[in-house]
Amino acid sequence: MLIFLTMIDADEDREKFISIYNNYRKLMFYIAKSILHNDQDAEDVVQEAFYKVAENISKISDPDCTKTKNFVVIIVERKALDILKCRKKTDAEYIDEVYHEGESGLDYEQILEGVSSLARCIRKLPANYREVIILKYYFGYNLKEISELLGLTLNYARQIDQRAKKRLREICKEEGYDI
Amino acid sequence: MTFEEHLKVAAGEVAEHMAATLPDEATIDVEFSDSFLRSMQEFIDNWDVRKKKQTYLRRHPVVRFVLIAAAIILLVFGMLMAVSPEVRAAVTGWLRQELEDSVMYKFNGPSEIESDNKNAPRFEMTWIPEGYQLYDIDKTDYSTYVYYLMGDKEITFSYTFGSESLDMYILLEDLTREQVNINGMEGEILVSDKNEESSIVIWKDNEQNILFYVDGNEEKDTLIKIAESVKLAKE
Repeated sequence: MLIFLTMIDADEDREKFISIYNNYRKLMFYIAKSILHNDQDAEDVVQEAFYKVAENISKISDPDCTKTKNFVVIIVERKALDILKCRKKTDAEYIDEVYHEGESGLDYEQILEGVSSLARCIRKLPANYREVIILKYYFGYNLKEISELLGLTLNYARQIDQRAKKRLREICKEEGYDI
Repeated sequence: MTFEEHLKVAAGEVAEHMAATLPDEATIDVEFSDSFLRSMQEFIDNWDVRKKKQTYLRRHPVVRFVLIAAAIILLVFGMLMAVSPEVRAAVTGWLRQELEDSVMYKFNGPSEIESDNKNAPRFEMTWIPEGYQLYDIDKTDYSTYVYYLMGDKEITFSYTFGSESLDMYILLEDLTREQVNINGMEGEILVSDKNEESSIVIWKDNEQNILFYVDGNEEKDTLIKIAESVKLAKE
């Protein structure tokens, strides 16, 4: 059953949304395009991502902070990867490889510089696993919230959470990091 | 530190570093299409359409004369409300309204009995079908959600304290509706015609201005039995 509980806080939420739109639309486009390699597709994904941000606007307290930046990046990344997965019927790990080591423009080594061993291992997880770990442990969302945010069933979100931690332990073992 | 605690720290590190290494907005050269910019502007412009609708009658000059008549009616009505709990219950608290594609429960005050969730009473289900396990409890300012799982099946129990800023919508798609009485409180059960969709029993406590619901993939009688088992939790 679809149930929505809405708080009519329209003016404040609208202002928050406008700030996010102004602050991050180019970055969101950049991320979407680095995955989809097409301007029109990237715009569609950014638009979809903004609708998702609007649905979850109450979760955002400050539009101009690192946490919000990460939040919109995760949303747009997930939307773009979902489309790519649908189109190319490829698996998440391949997509992750394309995104992070291909033409995304991100400096993979720079990202890893100065972080702990466990953080390095998290960074090596496939995108869908890493997103759930970050949403759960950095943002503090429960699996119900994560499933709604990423468009997953609750059960599937639970499975990803469990698989992500299992895979993380394996990566840590491979990297010689004792947990 | 436990593994979970390590994860919290490490997830924060990953997020911070990812954000730090993303390009600056100012350096990204993007020319958005007109259709994108137009769609987003429309989306932003329509953000508060619902709020505008609510304030329309108050602001529109055409209805001024109606407001004078309404003031007289309200005076009489106010007197009736003061002496009649039935009249008061009909226009305050959680009000049900049918919309085109949904049922809306809207809280209509009075504001002096608004409550937040911090010091509010807690409720619990005292009966649930065998096999369900408590999965999660989630609290917002006004609402509490309790989730139970058994395999693919989920039962959600929720209660929301009235606040004038709250509306609850239930989408009406392929379902049948029936009035119910839950421990003396009026309510309804919305049973989905699709097996894979959950059904919901929703009822309101007009004295405490609380809207309850139990949502799950169970038979009508089972959901009603769960609803009837809801009691004030023992501290």
